[in-house]
Amino acid sequence: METLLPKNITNTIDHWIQKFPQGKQRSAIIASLHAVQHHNNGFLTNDLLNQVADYIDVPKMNVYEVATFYSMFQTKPVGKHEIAVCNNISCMLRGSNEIIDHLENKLSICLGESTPDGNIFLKEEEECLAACTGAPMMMVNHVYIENLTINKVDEILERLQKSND
Amino acid sequence: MTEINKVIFSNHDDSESASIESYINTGGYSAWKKIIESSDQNTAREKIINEVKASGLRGRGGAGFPTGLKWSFMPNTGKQQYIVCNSDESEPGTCHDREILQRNPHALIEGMAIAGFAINATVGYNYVRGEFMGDCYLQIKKSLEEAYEYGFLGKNILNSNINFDLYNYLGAGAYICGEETALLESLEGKQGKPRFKPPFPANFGLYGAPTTVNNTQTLATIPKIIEKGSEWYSSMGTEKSPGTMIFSVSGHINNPGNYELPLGISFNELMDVSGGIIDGKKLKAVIPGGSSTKVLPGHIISKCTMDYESLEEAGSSLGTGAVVVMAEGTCMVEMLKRISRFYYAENCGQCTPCREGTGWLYRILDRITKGQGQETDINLLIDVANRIEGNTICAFGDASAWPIQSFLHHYFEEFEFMIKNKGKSRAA
Amino acid sequence: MTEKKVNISIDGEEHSVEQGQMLIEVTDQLGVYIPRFCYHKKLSIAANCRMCLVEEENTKNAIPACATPVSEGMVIKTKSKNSQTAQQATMEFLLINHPLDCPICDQGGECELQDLAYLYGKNSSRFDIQKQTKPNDNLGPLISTDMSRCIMCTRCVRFGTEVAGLPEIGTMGRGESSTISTFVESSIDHELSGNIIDLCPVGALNNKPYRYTDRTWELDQIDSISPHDCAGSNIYLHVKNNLIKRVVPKVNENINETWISDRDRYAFDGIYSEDRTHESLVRINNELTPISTNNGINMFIDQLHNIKDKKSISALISPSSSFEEQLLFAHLMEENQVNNIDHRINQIDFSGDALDPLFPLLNIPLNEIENMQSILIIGSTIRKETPIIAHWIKKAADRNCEIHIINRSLDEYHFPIENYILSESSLIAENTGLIVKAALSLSDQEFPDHLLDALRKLKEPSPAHIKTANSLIGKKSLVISGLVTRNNKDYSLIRSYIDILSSMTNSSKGEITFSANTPGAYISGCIPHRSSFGRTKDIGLNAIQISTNRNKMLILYNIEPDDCLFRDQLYKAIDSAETVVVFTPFMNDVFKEHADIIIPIKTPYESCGSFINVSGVLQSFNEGLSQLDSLQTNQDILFDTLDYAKAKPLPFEDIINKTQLFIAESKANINPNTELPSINSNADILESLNNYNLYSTDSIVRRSRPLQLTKESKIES
Repeated sequence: METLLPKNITNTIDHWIQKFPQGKQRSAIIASLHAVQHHNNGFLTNDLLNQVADYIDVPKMNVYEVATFYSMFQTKPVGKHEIAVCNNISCMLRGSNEIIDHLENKLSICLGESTPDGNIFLKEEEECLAACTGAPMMMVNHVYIENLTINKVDEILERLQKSND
Repeated sequence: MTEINKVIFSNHDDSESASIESYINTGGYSAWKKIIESSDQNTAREKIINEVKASGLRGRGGAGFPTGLKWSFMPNTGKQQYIVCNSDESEPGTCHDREILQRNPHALIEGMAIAGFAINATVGYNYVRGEFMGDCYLQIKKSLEEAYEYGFLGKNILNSNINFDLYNYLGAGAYICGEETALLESLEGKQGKPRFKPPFPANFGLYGAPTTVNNTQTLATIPKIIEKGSEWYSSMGTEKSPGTMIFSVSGHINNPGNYELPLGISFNELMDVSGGIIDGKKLKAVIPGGSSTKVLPGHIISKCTMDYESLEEAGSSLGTGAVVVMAEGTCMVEMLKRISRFYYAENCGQCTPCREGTGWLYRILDRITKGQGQETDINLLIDVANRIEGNTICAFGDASAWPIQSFLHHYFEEFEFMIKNKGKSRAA
Repeated sequence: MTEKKVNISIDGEEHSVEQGQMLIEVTDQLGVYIPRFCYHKKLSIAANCRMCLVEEENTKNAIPACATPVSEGMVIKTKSKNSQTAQQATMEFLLINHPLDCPICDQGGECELQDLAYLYGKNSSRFDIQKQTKPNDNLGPLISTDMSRCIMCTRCVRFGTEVAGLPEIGTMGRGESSTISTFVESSIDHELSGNIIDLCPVGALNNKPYRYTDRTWELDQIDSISPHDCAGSNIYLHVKNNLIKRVVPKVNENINETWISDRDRYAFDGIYSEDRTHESLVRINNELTPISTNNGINMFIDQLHNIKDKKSISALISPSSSFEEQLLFAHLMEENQVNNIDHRINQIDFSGDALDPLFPLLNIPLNEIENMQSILIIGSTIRKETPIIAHWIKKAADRNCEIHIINRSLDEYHFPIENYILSESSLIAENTGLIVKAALSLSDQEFPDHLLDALRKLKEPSPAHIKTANSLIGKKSLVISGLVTRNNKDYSLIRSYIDILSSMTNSSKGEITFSANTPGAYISGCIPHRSSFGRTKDIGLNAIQISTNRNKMLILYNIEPDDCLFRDQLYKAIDSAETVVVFTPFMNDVFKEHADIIIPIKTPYESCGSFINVSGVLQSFNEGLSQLDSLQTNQDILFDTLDYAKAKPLPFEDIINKTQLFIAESKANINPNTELPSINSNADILESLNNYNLYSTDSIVRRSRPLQLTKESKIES
């Protein structure tokens, strides 16, 4: 069917749909939204949600409900690089609060906000990422970086800034 | 020195442990091969289920339900049935399933194939939490391709007429999807909102078909049980808690890590293995099985062994084996507030007690830490938690109530102090 | 097959109940009340409100009655301390974030939350934290939103998915910030959407036009019937100071279950249009001058009597008028030798008049439709013609009934269609005939030669025709036609085909007629070729012929040109008639310019009377209304007219019983028809109603302000 989604995205969606039985293509919604969000620099738009719904052939409401339920989906524009610092108990016991304070100061934004240049999105308070033995840790664009120190954080920020310049 | 890393982590020293060659060289897929070569499939199925029952293996995802018994609930309808692996590891403190997916993914794959065969499921899904997408998901994806390449999965496996197709599935960030019926909802492409039970997944599961959901660690244990026998497995551990468990030890500990140890090991021994408390400090409190289990003061848990019975007797439970260690100086009010924030953020919003109650609990704790606590707050917290417990669709409600009840039970004075002293912590 | 029974104890009493039911269904049947919010007998179980938690002796925690099947040996205590503690816990949680809006909330007085808070809530709250609020969506002109009041029972969401078949609203977000929303800015447009107002147990979703006007305890309730389509949906009028404030559904499991369409709910607003006629008017020197109704009637009858050639007098009456009015009007015409009388303003093919049934009938009750295994719909945009019947068809489809459609437009349905034969208007008859032909080859019955000859002349049936014919055989099947068929130039032929097809395949059948009382119009004699109750008469002109006739007098009862398929022709007839007498609730430009005598009449909302619905069920409406209003009723006007005309009185006392007997006898004596119309229709194709607009169908609906603000009303028709 006619779609404005680029070929690599529709290929990904097709790949996912074939994992499920005939008629159960609704199961492909989550993976499709991941693909589309990644393609759109980290967030989803209403238009993209509609296109996914049309391509998979499910009611649009099904896609809206999924996009708003799961924490990994951003339905408003955010910065390109996502930093998510775990602040749950194991990480809190190993100093995640200091990491967060440092990041907020360095980037001059609060948790949940993006830097004005659109480069970095500091995700709102993240729950346990299942890397407790490497606490404190954070996820940068879904890559786990464990055993953080302030220096390590600064190195990463530098790298992200360089990629933007 | 206790036996360490004997089952799933038995190939831990091998830097290539994730590769299929390494797995095969250490006996991997031998159990599966034997099964698919068996002449009488029905007998083979019965044998597997009996073996798993005899091993005493209990679900490692937190509920501890006997695995063999769970499998025996599955009917044989002649229609499509499913095996699903719950790799949505999100219980705070828990991080061993991640390591399984990274370091011994084929144990899971073989375990799912064996489980699928045993319960007449020719299709399996491995539900991996979304946050793993740039991490261990890449490994399990690669390993799955390897398993297909080597002919261990697919149609007519090694000319046996046995079919088993396995697919990885990615979530998108919701702790509640770790609840088995919420997981099935999420697999179906919907919001991860738990279903009420009955009906149970064995009768009405994925797409309405009979389904068994098992945890990653549970399934990854299966190949060794079938390969080496239930007696071998149950010779480790205790009588009521046979076998081994991977303990994720974190918090104020010198060597945080995942340690596969026999159940029944003493808490103190576990502390030794993980290097003892940092900075030579004294032990204050431990959450023994993930944040959904009740906290135990140091002096109580030091007398416990790490198994189901001992911890239950002490007033907590083994849960996921996620041992979060808190040293002296930890403010229990801040800890409880953080834990309650977790349940407030992660509740699905479906049923009234959780949706309204968890936010209330969190806000009371928040104002206590900000110096605005009221005298009546402690009793209020306990009462609200009691009113959530037992009244919800799924166990999340209970899990949100237990920390409140246990922290207030054991550390009442700290809360009292902070309320009286306008936000000052007694622990500091 | 007898269901297995189990023995359970409820509040100390032993009961033997059918297995397979949920506990709450059993307690409802036994009259033992368990509080609930999310449970509704017409929707799937959600079990999310947790209000129905009750104690079961052998279970540790309280169990939800709506989601627990009864099982042997259950011991339930609905009023024990444990039950009450659980229910009070739920109530407290529901109230902590619920805004204290009662003084300004429309739901006050009919609010399930209020009622249960009174029984299960506390006197004072211990919640002293800021309450959470939610944003409000604009759902359109019919439904208002105050989502901070929402208790997330999801009845509205389940209604959209399960009953309407179209999820227009969903649960967005997670946890405490979950909210019911359309997510993108959008109105809720489904024709049954207003029912979520009734479903919502709190004041989150309310009746927008009704908002802030009244308090429920100030209203009087009158049993009524919707005058807008042939289903005869049961409604309540809520009245204050002689004004209708709103319309809500009345439960009738055989006709409309617990639902009404938005048209049924909001159309009444039209009766308060500025267009209403209040006084009789007569044209003197081309000016419309007020006159007393008595004088108006006298003038009308005097002029009627003065016309010698009775063939030059024609009358058209609305098929939505009450049966009593139709009977009196037809009698008036008959007594004055006026044979040109008709109500069929949406028909252009009258070649089959001789084959007309006594009245068009759907020969099964409406609630039987959901038991069908195969349904063929010929020439109908059923969702817009009769939303409630479309709902029954959807219920059948949900139970795997095969739906086959022949229509000229590709309409949207929210259930799977097995076979959709898209056909131009001029080919609907042929497509129907081809299905008959296909069925013929599968049938072993004998058929008359003339039929076989006619079918032989058709081409060979395609696989689609054969598929549909096949599906009607050997199953519980139904063949129906709708307005597009009635409009069609081959209406008579299609109708005959349907008769033949249904007897070939042993299917039930029916014509889904357009207005509230078409069967009544036939039975009362508002047709040119038959008198009342099937008696013969001299045949007069039919509706189309009336509109092209040179009329010395044209009498219109409750009809405006916009009601008519051939509206332009009718307009010309009004223009050319020497005298135009209209009995009308509404004024319009055409009447302003051309009517000579205008007698104001009331709408069905303001009168008592009866309608006969599509299944032949006679329902009387507004019996309580007469006490509210002492002004002259329509029946009084007609009685006065008959009086002045010195007509033979019409025995009226037992008319309802007589009619019901007539209907019953007619149903019992229906002979299968195998005749085809002998005259070929040469009617011109009138491709009106291309895009069917469900809010343009009668004079009241067209003037309803809320309905005319909807998306649907903007469709060009």
